[in-house]
Amino acid sequence: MRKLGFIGRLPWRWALCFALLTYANSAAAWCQMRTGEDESEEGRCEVEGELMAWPSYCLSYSLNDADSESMTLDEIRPIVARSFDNWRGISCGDDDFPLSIREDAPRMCAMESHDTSGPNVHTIAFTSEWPENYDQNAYAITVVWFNPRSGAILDADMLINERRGPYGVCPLRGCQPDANGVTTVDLENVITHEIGHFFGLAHSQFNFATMHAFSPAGETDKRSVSSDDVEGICTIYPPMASPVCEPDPRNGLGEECRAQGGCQATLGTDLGGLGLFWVLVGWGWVRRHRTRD
Amino acid sequence: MRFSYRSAVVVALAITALLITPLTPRTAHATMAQRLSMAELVEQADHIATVTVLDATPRYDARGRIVTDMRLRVDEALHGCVAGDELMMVTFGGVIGDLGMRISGEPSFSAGERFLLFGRAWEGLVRPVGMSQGTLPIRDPGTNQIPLVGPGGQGLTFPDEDHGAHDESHSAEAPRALDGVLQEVRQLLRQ
Repeated sequence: MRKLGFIGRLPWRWALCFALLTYANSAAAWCQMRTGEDESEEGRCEVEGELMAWPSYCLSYSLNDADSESMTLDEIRPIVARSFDNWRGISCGDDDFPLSIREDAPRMCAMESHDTSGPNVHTIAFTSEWPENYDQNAYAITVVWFNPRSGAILDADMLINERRGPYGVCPLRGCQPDANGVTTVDLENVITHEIGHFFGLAHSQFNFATMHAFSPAGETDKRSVSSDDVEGICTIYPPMASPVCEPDPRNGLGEECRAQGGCQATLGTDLGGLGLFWVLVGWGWVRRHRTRD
Repeated sequence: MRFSYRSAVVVALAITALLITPLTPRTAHATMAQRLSMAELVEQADHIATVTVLDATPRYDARGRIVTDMRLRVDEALHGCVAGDELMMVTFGGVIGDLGMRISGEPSFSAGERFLLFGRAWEGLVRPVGMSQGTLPIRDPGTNQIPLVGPGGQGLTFPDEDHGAHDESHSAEAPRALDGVLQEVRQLLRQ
């Protein structure tokens, strides 16, 4: 009781402590991605290489045109839009969120790719064809393509691992495990975090940041962009009177994605179509032979 | 103006908070993956060893990604490989000409750097277990001092499976003495 009395009599001191802690955490807790290949030293942002950022203040993205295993494209679309809106809703001082985001029509692009000589797609795709050599435990990865000399981001692709689902919409308090012990992963939580990387933000040390590295299953906290994230994005993209605005991907928006060298690369969707094709061919062959017999 | 004992405690706490904050670990880059404990790293690894990067060569793979082949010399083998062996570890990302690619959560090292590898065999190559969780960088703080192992998992976001409480058994949250980590790995291998 004596302790409570002590606290009760000293609210301003505890408020000061809290303010200092918050300030200490939020001050430069955010980090910006860099082109450097060396591991970061513990306790610091990476220091090697150029800082990575989009040269244009207008960006675009396209969803892959296929449903996911746990959600339809029509269900995914508004969640992704809300995830971008979580960032759009912030302001940089007296200015609005500096970036303009355009959603393009879905494309046949279920993989990470960049073509230096042809059109590209900034894709957001669910994939059940999770590459064997990726970490099977990963929920999502963000691939960023960049110019190593300037740090300019050229392309970014977000892949979500179907095998780590199911994905869905959790109530604001988060998802709890069901009777089978399976916890739905809140898609908006994952994508809001990944969008930060799409913009060029790295992880933050601030516990309550969207860009914080740790996240319990079923969490929804990262939907709310924190002051630390705001400071990061507003520093990387300071409000400008007339910024460069070229939302199209490098060399234009492609109908599908092609890997470097022009090799068509539409795994997932195409494999499904190809599979159906061979099933039909096989069915036709069996029917033909049965008729002959 | 007089300061009471309590005021001094409060001010000391505040100053301590300010001082320790920059010392706490920070990671970089993206990806959401499952956090692996040291036991899980050991269980999933075909090769466990301290290694030195001999060279790193980027190339395009069949999928059009930039990958980097890292030639590793095994310094001290704990499981699978043998000391003196060379392993070829492939990591995603790298720079070729005017194009760079980074996959969040992938480890990246330069020639001469050392790390504790938890690798799984994959098509004649080695992939780190759990992306950067399977590569714990070894820092040599100087002569006559114990080498330290830094935390793995640079660039990863870890959703904890126990719904909120962080897994304290994780490989390393802060740098630890290399000897202690190797001893822990050996104990887990014996189990």
